[in-house]
Amino acid sequence: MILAGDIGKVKSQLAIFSQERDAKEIVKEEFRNQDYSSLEEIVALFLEENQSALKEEPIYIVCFGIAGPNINGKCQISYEENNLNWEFTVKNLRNLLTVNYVEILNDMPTIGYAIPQLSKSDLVDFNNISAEKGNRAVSLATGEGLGELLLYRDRSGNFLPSPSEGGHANFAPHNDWAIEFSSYLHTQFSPPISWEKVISWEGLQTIYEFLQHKKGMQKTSISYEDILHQANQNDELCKQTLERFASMYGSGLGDLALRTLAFNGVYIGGRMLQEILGQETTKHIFIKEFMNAFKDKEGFDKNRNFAKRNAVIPVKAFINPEMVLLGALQRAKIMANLQ
Amino acid sequence: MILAGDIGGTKSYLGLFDQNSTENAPIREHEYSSKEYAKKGITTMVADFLAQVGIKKKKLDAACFGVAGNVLNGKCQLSNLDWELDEHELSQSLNNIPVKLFNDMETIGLGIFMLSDNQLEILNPDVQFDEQNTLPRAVIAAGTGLGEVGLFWNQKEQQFFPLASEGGHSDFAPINKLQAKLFRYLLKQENLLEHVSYERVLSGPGLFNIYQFLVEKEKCDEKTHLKKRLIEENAKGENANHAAIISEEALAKNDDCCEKALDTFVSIYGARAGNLALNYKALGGIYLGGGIAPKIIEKLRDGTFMKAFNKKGRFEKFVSKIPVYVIREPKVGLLGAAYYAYQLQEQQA
Repeated sequence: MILAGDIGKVKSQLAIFSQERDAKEIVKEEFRNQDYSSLEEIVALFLEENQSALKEEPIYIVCFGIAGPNINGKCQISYEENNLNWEFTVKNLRNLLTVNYVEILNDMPTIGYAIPQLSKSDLVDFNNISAEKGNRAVSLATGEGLGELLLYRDRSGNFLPSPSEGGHANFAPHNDWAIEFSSYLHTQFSPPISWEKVISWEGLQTIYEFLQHKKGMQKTSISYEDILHQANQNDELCKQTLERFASMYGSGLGDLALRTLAFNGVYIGGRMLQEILGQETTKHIFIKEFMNAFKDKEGFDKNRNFAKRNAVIPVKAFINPEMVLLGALQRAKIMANLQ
Repeated sequence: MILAGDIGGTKSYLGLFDQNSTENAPIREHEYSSKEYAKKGITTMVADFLAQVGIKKKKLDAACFGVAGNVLNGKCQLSNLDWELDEHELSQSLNNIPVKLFNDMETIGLGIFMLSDNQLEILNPDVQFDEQNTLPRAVIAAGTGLGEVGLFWNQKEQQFFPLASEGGHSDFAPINKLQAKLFRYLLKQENLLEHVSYERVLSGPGLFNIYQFLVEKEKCDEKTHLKKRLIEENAKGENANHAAIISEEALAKNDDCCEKALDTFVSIYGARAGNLALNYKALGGIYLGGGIAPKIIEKLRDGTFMKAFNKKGRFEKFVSKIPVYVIREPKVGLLGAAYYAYQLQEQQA
């Protein structure tokens, strides 16, 4: 059997799958992290509950995607808001589970393994283009954080994940408006200003404040939920906020595509995007502004070759809420030679 | 023996390497005019080279070339010449030995694994690291343009693998007020088509752009003799190198305006290199290639570069662990082609 897991900051999901090519889900359960003292406790409980399912065939391979680093077998998940600070080692898990094949990955590369497994219903296609050769780039905006991942093709044509901390690189404006916004950010926060400051819920709120400021309006605080909600009610300022946000998002991803030669596709996802794409008005605004900025990249020559090159890149949003679990299962299948 | 090549827009170099030689250098090499051979073809260049060095082609086991253009399906069109190179055609002309074409930034990337200590200078000697590590690395090379390349370890093949990039064309991220003003100034330049990429500031022409911005917008006092020199330089057309004049004046501490231009340039270079370190998670090292870095190495040593490199907020700790090197070997691209050709040779054995 395969044990796959999505170990997040707030909740964790564990599932047992049959160890075969079209692995079947035997059982799946979700846990609230704050109700437990450690990951080991959750794992032990889950296995005990499902003893009967494992009677005939025990667990052979384990793979978890975790919301934290694994540095030489030492793993950590910490989250201030619920006082979570879990530390565990791959070695301990191996002993606890009495399984040799235990793989713990950061959740970004785990998502990378899920990308090729997605079906049409898991994706929102932004431009209906089929893939050219090249690499793939994945970006995940959760609202609180911004993750990036490169899936590059090796000589045999396989995609290999390579992690990135690109969300912490300096924010680059792409037009007059964005440079003004960037200067505003420098007055509101102590530099450096990273991409995460812009492509996040906080960024959406800051754009709203900046637009108010430019129009000489009184600054009022507004939650990101309200910005999206009111944009869907046709509120002009909220719609403009989302337009500017989508445009900077698209420009940033356009740069990522250029930098990584991700001609095989750019995949974006995360909770933030799911909420934006969940309603018609915000979805329409987002895709339009995102794609305009994404395609508009500088070329070497008068023919603006790069504008053309980015225009042929498929852009898709993944909206499957179980990406990490799916990726962990996929990684386990690769380890079990079920591919 | 193996054959390595560095095929540029203006000049090309071919080198012959021998696995028994203890030095990381070609045993024979030659320079060619690319324009001349764009008509005659690459196979002619190779044949001429072999004739000149008196080596029969049956002595060659493998060949690899870095080419100034994008490689697709084993073919490469040079960016500025009407010249196409073809792996298959080259292989046929060389008794079907394995031949590989790379983009020239990729061979520069591979070249770092051939460099010995005296061909590199580290900018942050206090940093602790394991030289044999297999963590990702990245090269950033400012010269006539801006090139970038990432290097990743392939576990299965047990070797590093270069990943070409067009990151030099991604948007410039200003990190302070002065740079934001520079951005606005460049955004208004018509020939830039409303885009300000990193290449517009991090290249020879980029340094000149920064200088002009300081003179026009920041009340930098442009000295008459310097103005004259810069205007005279225009007469050289394509070969004009205003950046050389500016950096020369700055390094000699002759001119405040040039010094400020170079300081801004180096600060942007450091910030971009730090961004690359984050983008590629390049804990294995950042390497500065290209023509400019070795020429301004005194300035790179003064701390401006490393300060901007490290300034990444809560990721300062992360980037400050990374060794940063200047590549002092101008033929690093040729060495990278040789590095790969050696691998092709081994695979055959």
